[in-house]
Amino acid sequence: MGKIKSAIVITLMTLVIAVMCFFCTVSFDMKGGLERFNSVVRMTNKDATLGTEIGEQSYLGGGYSTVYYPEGVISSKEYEENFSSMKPEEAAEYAAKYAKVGALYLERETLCDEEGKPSEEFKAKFKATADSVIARYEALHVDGARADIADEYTIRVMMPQLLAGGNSLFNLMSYTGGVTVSYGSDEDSATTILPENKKGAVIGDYIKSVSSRTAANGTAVVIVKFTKAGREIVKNTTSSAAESSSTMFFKIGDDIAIQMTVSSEIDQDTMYISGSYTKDSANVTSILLESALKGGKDDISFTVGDTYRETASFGDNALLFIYIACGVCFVGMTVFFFARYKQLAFAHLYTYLLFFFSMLFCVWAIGFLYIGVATLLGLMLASLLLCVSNALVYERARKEFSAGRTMTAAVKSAYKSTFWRIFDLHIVIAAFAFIVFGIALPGLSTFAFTLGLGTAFSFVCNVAIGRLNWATMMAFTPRKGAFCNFKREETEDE
Amino acid sequence: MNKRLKTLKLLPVYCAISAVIIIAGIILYALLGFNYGMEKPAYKTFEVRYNVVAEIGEYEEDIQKTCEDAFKANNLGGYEKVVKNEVGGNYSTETGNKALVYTFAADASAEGLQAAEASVKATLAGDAFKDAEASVSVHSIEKVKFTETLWRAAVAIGVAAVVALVYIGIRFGVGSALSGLVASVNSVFFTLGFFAIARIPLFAAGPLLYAAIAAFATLLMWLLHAMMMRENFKDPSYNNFTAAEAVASSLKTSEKSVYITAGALGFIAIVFGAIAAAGVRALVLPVLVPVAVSLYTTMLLAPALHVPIKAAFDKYKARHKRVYAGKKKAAKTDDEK
Repeated sequence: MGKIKSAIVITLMTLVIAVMCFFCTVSFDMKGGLERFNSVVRMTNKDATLGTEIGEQSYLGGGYSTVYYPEGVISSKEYEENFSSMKPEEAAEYAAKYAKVGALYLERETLCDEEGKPSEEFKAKFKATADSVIARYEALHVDGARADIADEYTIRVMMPQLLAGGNSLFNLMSYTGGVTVSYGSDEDSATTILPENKKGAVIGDYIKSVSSRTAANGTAVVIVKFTKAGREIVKNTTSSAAESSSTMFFKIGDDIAIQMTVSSEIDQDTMYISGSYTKDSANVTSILLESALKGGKDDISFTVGDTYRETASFGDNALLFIYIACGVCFVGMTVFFFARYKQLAFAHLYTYLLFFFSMLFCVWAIGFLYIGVATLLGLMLASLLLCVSNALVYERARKEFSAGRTMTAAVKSAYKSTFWRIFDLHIVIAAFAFIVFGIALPGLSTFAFTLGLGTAFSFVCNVAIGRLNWATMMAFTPRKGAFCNFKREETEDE
Repeated sequence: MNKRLKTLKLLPVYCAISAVIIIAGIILYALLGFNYGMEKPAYKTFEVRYNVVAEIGEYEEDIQKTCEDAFKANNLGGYEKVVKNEVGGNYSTETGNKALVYTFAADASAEGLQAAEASVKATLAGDAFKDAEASVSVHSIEKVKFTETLWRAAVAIGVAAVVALVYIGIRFGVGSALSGLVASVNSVFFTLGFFAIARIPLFAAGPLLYAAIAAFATLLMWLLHAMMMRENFKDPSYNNFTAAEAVASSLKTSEKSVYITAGALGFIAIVFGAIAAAGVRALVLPVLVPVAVSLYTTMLLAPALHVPIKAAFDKYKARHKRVYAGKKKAAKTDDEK
C-alpha cells in the first residue's frame, strides 16, 4: 500500500478509535451541572453484583428487595409502631392478639396453636405457598432474582435493577390463590365464567397454559391457550361483545392479573393479549398465571413490605476495581507485544482497541447483555483469543521472514498458512459459546454470548483489520524487519 | 525429545493421580458437599431501621457506633455492614428511610444478638435518637437454591463440549476427539474433586463455572496440540516415527502456544483476583485451579493417552489400507505407447 493511502487509512482508523473511546468512557456535566453526558460504559445495565452511581441521584445496577408477610404476620417494626401509638387498654388487647415468634408477630387466633406457637396447618400452608412463590422467581430466569426464607415464615425477595418493570412486579409476584376468569362491565358486577360453577371443575380444564412472547419490534404479548371447553365458554360469553363491549378479568385469588376490554367475539384456541406490556412485565404476568394455574385455592395471601434499594452486592467499589483489573491486563498485553514485536505492536493495538470498543458498544446496545463479572470474563477470554490469533500470525511471519522471504511474501504466507488454524480455533470456541448460550440461563448464558460474539469479532479483526493495520503501518518504514523485530536466519559462508 | 518421550510413558502414573483426586473428591463431596462458604446458605442479620431525621440530625454514625459497641460488648465479630435506602412509588424516589443491616454468619450467637438488640433498643429509645423512630430486629435467613440454573448449565456445558469434540473429530481425526473427550472429562472431575478436597469457599454457581472453564480450557489447549499434530503428521519425516515419537515431536512444536495460553488465562485470573473487590476475588481467583488442571491434562495426561490411541488408529489404518493391484495409470500409458 502506498504511503498516502496508508496515511489516510491510519488517520481514519485513529479517528474512529478516538471517537469510540470518547463515547465509551468519558462522562461529564453539562450546562453547569444541569445535564450530564454519560458514557456508554456508565449507561450500560449493571447486574446485581455490580453497580455505579450515574449522576448524583441515580444508581445503575444492584437491585431492589422486599419482604412478603403472610396474612396475620407482621414485622416487629410494625408491631412496635402500632403498639406505641395505642392507649394502654388498647395496647394490652393488641399485645394479647399477637404471639412473638423470632422477629415476627403472628396472630394467635388464626395462625397459632393453644401454646402460642405457629400451628401445623399454618406451617403446611406457608410451605406450599412459599414454594410456589419461590418457583416463580426461579422461572423469571433473571440473573440476580432471589427468593429466600426469612424468620421461617416470611419470604425475602430480590429483583435486579436491570429487570424493567418497577413497582408492579413485586406486587404481581405476591398474588396467591386460584385463577378465575370473569366477564362483565366492571369488576364488581363481573360474573365468573372460568372455571364453571359445577362440581369438580378446575381451571386446568379450561386453560392449558399461559406464556409470553416479544416481537422483533418490541411488542410484548401474554398468550393464553384455552382447551376446547374453555374456548367454547369464552366464545359463548363474548358472542354479544360486538354490540356492547365488556371487560374480561383474569384474577389470581382476589387480585386482577389481566384486565382486557372485549369488543368482539373471541373464538380462538390461543388468545394474544397485548396492551402496555413490556417484555419483562409480560413475562412476569405469564409466569404468575402459569404458576397460579397449578396453585391451590388454599394458598395464603401475602402483604408486600417496604422496598429497599440494594447496591452492588460485591461492594460499591467493585466495578471500579474491575475496570482497573481490565486496565492492568491491557497494559500487560501491550508490554508483551511491544517487547516481542516492537512497532508491529501498534498494528495489534489498533486492532485490539477497535475490537474492544466495538464489543462495549454491543454490550450496551444488545438488550439482554449487561456489565457483570461473567460478561467481563467473556470479554477478557475473547480478547485473549484475538491476542493469541495475532501472535500466531506474527510468529509464522517471523519464521517465514527468517527463512529468507521478503516481508510482503512472509506476511502473505503467514496469513495463508495460519488461516485454517485460526478458523478452527474460532469456530470451536464460537460453537461452544453459542450452544452454552442457547441452553444455559443468565449469567452463564451472558458469559457465553459475550464470548461467542467476541470470537466472531476476533476472527474478523484478525483476518481483515489486523492485516490492513499491518500493511498500512509498515508502509512508512524501509527497514521492515526491524519494524517487526524480525531477524533473518544467519547462515555461515562456506 | 527423550525427556518428552519419558513423560509420555507415565500414563499409569497420571491415571493414578487423577483416580486418587477424583475418588477422594467424590467421597468428600458425598460426605460434606462443596464448601459454599461464599454463598452463605444461611445467615443472620441485625437490622436497624430509621427515618430521615437521623440523616438530617447527622447522627447516623452514632447509630452505627451504638450497634458496633453493642456487638463488641457481646463478643460478636465478623460482620458485614451495609446501609440500604428505602424506595417508594416507581423505585426512582427515595423515601428518606434507611435500613442499617449487619450480616453475621449463621452460627453467630443468638443470645449475643438478642443482648445486643436489647442494648441498642434501649439506647435508641433515649432522647438523643428518639425522633429517628428507630426499630431494631434480628433475623435469620435461609437461602433457597435455584436448581434449574445449575442443571441447565451442566447440560449446556456437556452438549457444547460434545459438539466441539465432534468438530475436532471431523477436522483432526477420531483419535484426537477421543483423547480430547477423556482429557475434558478428566479436567472437569479433577477440578471438582480438588474443590471438594481443598474445601475452598465457593459461590453456589462456582463448581459449575469452574467445571465449564476446565472443559473450555482443556478443549482450547488440546485443540492447539491437535492442530499442530495434524500439520506435522503430514510431514514425510514423521512416517518413520513410532506413535510415541511422533506425538513427542509434535508436542515440541505446540507446547509453547499451550503454555502461553495457560499463562495468559492465569495472568487474567491473578490480576482480577489481586485487584478486584473481595466478592470478585473469591469468584475469579479459583479459576487458577481449572487452568492449572487443564494445563496438567493437556501437557501430560492427554498426550500420554493419545500415544496408544494413535498407535491403535495407525494399526487400523494400515490394516484397512487400500492396495491397488493393477498397474498405475502412468505405467499403463507407457505400455500403450
